[in-house]
Amino acid sequence: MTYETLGLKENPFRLTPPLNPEEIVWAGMSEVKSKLEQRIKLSIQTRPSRIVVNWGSYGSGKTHASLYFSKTTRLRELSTELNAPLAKSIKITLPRASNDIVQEFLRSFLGQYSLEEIYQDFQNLRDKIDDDELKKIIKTYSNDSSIEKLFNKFIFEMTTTTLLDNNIDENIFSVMKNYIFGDSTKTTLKLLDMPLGLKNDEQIANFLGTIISCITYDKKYYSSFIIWLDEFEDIDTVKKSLADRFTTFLRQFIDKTPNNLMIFLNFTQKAFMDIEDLSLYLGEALASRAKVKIDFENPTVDEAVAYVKELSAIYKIEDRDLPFDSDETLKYILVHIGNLTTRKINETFSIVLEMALIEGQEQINQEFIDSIQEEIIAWEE
Amino acid sequence: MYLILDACTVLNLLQVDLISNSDDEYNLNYNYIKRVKTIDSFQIQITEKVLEEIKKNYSKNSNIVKKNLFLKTYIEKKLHGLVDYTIDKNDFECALVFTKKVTKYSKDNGELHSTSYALYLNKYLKNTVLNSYFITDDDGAIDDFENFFKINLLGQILTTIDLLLILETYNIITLSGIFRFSSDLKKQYIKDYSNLLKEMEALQKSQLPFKESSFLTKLYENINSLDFEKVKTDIESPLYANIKRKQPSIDTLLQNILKDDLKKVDILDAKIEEIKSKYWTMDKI
Repeated sequence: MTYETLGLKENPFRLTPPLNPEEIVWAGMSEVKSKLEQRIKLSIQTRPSRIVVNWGSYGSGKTHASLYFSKTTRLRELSTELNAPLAKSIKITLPRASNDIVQEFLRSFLGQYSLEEIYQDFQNLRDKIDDDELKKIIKTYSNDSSIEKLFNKFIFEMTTTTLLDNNIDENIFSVMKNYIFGDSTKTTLKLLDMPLGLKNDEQIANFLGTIISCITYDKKYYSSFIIWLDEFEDIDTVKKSLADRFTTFLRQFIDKTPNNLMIFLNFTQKAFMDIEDLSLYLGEALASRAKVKIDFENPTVDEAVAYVKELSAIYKIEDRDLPFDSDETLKYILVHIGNLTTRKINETFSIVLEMALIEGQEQINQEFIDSIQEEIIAWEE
Repeated sequence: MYLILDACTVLNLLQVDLISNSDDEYNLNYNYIKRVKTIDSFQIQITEKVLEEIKKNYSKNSNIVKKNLFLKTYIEKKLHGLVDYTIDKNDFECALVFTKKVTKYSKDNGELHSTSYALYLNKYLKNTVLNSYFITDDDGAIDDFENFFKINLLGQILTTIDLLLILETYNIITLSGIFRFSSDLKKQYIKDYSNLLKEMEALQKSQLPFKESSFLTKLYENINSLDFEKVKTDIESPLYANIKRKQPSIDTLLQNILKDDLKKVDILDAKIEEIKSKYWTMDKI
């Protein structure tokens, strides 16, 4: 048997994100969605940079929210609704594997927003702002002569031809990448006429701040730049000196990007970690900038029923009914699985559908649920 | 006045205070012990037994070579100086026998030796009262010896946080410095706990069968809510065997947690709450 026998194209209750990001869907949890969209709209429409803390238990949908707004067309729709230029959104997981936490953040940033894209966005920006003005903006925001020089070389001066003329058989992006990560050859450094690489965390903050400040300048090209910093609670598993270094960097980065930057910090609630203690993890300076908190509360049973139905409907084969006989059956399952999180609901319903396929059950009713109760791991009497 | 430090206190004061630079060279940030020593009216002491325990345990939770090397050097250079080698062995032995007899304490450890040392200092050496303070974060030791301190008018048993509060009264550190210390200490207590949750989350990112994923979520929830009775039942499940096979570190960390006493964290949290509400500061006027 396949999901088709249940009237579904596939299992709607995914446990990992789909391969095709456009297939990421939002079901239920309308209150959280509307709160997030309210903050996003505010950042599209107004200038000051902001930090918002997303707070919720494990499996409550924080990572999903970051993917939804970074990978689907939803953000584009929001900008269009507001008649504003597009916003850009990326998701970065808190770096914790390396001893150079800031460098790792930079690498993740450029992994999500590549130099090729940055270059293209700056070239597009040149259609909207004349070069002299853009140079002035770079000068103002970079606040550092070598960063300013780097942008001028990258955006205005360097081409593949200039590289070839100087016997450098690399494309402009690998030249830049090598420079940024301090891997440049002597020949390249000579051509760039610059010191070796970005020296310290402050320069990295300057570098990223300049990119964002320019491409969102006066909301001409992007109206807002959104970064979702996922798994931020892991800051408590990072060595203390690295954690302090990272929060200091983050504060510098925000200070150097006073406009059009929106950072969502995803925090998974754990025992021993209270939201009141946020300043201990972020540092006073950063915590005082993170005044808004969005609570990813666990759904009620009724909200969970709506979620299951909405999600199943997306994957339903046209002209077929959902495989569940009634809302009562959904409720019967949901009241028996303890605290509801979207992760737990997805896992439980995946098991239910899988069991229906194995048992050849086309309609899922309470009697069937009773017969497979032992298979439902989260089941509690 | 004597401040007699237990091994856990010394290790907490050192380990929470360690900082490293980008070359992984370690140092102490505040150097609390040195700061206490600047107060003339206090004399820090540790017993030989405690020093022995510190030497045995300083590297237990870390395999970072440079960190352990720093601690080893610190112990050799600084902590030996805190041991009272002029002690009258016979008198101390008498104090030890008496303490054991009265408290019915059977372990020959740093806590017992520190309590006996307090008795020795007050009664055998100086013939005085309320002169010795034993600083420990071992709540079992507090229960075992609190009454002994009281009835013999030795002084009090205090915790590491109390010791820092003493520094606060001398304006050597601030209250927010104490809160930071307590948060770092808490992180240390729950290190295995946090890493375990992390490992479980990481495994769940792989394509696990639905039942294993669901089991992992259930286990996660029980660990996160500190319901260890349920956790003990969970690990009997055949699904746990699959998890263990896929990610052995989960089992290692979980066994550590089941052995460890997370009650310390609650006690620490309660202490900080109490300081916030009941400890007199200028802003409470």
